[in-house]
Amino acid sequence: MTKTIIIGYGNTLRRDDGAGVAAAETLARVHPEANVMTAKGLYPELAERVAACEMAVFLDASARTSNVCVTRLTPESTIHGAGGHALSPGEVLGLCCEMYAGAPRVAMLVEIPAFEWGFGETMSARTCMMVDRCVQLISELLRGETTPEILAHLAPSPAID
Amino acid sequence: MSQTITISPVSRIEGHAKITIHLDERGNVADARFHVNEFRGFEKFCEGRLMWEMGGITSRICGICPTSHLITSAKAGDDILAIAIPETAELLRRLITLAQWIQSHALSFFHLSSPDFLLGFDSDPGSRNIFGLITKDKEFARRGIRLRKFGQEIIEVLGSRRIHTPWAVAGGVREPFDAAKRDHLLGWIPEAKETAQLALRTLKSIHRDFAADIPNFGSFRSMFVGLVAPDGALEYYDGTLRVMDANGNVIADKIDIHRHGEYLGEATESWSYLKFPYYKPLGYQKGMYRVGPLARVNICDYIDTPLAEEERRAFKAIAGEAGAVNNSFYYHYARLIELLFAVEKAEMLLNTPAILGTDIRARAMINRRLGIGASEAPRGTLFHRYEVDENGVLLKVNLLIATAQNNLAMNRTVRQLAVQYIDGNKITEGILNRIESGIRCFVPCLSCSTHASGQMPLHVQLLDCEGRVLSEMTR
Repeated sequence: MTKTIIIGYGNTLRRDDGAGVAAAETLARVHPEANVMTAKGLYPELAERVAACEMAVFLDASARTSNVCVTRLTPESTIHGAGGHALSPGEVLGLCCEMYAGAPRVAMLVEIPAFEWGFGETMSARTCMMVDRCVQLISELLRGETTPEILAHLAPSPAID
Repeated sequence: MSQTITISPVSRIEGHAKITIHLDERGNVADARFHVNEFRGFEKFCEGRLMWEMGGITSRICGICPTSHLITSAKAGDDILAIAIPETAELLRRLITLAQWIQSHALSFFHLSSPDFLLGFDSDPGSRNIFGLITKDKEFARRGIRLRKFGQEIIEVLGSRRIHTPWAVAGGVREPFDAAKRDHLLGWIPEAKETAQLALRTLKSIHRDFAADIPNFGSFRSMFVGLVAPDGALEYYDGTLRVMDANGNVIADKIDIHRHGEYLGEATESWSYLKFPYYKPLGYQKGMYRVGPLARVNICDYIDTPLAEEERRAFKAIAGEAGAVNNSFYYHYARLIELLFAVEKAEMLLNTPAILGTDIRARAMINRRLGIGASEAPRGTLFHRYEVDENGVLLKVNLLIATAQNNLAMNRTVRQLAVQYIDGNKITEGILNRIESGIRCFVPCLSCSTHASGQMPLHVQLLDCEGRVLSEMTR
């Protein structure tokens, strides 16, 4: 079983929305042995690959935080998105449970602060810094220098309004 | 006092739209309109770009069928260069076009439409999705997801990405294929074929269960337009245009795609950003035609793969003496026949030795000022028309998209469903579900057809004769 899968997703044509993809691409370069992939969005076909892992890390841009945040995820069994072909990380985990052997033992969403959402392929300076911070945190995780629990403590999830 | 019902947004389709249902003074349905209310304007902002960039730009119109735009754009580029592409390049382009059909048709049936059929139109909308499907039949859902994955896998293997690959270019393709990749894809074929056949068996059992509803799902006479091969076979990449009337008579045939503008006009309405293409010889409204699976399976003389051809014969039997299958509900059946065809045909292509060739791109300068490309996208015939200057800078762009070509027919379908199911001035969940499902027969991709972005939620409004909102539902 592959130990960890890292999925960075977002729209790289909408500036900071591509932060998750940028972080994943950097991680793939820095850790060529890691199981890293990028996507425009999350779709049901990913579940088979995610279910085969012990840990899943989703990297996404977020407007609701001003620092890199980590949220532990649990599987969801209902769909809130576009009728089943554009999913949230929790919904992907839900599909892992429903269709395959089960969800990874540990799953987390890493939110990277995003500020500029207009058309363009360059990220804002603030988001670029946050991408670096995200890469640093996940690198420590991949090297075994930290644990998901410590990560969540270092980068707590944002307060939900 | 006349009234109007509005359905907005429309769900489980691609894009953003609403439906208004207009009642007359007596409370009867007078009209129904499918409004598309987003605009992106690709045709305009592409002016001034280099024609070489168009594959990359137009594939961004959509996340579901970017490959169709890529291939059609590359074909328009071939036309501007005035070249014939190498055999291997054509085989590879054909393969990726089939992959686009597989992933899109699987998405349409398993992810978007089958929840209606297997769970029922009146079941809870919150669970009428892929999760509800899993609860009902896990293996069916799993197979559907894997079949779509197979289509995506072909695209990824050829183009290095699942979506928005820049792999096809004017003159051919960027990267060749190899035996290891071919063998990997061939390994998927038995499962893909079984799943396509399972889908067909399931749908045919549904035909019996929904016998009372089917006659109301866009059953009307129209023409059908699509590409066919030189010998009349089902075509997906090339060929000439054929027009069939509602009685199954071929009324125009072997039309070079360069002449499509003589036959297909484009009208507009003030209440929608989606254009209203029509068959010019009959004029707007009377010239309503349908494209996509229903049209393609109707107009072709045969399908050159054995299992799909057997199904095509069964499909044509539905038409009986009518000559053509005119009911839009049978889009689903035609789509699954094409899905089976695409798997069978992909196997044939993968077993063609020339697909492993290394001559994959012809190079030339700008040799024509006008280039037209056409192919069969999953939802129907797609045209890209580019006018360029001597440097290949685009002066004018026209994109004629499948969903737009079905616009008149979608409006007719919504009206038919409204007449059948609207009773009084209140929208019910059942009405909402049936209208949504009626639109989904066409699997409209509004992101493509208006070049608009976003999901397509459902918004329905019921209006009186003076335009006042009587009832409204949003999902």
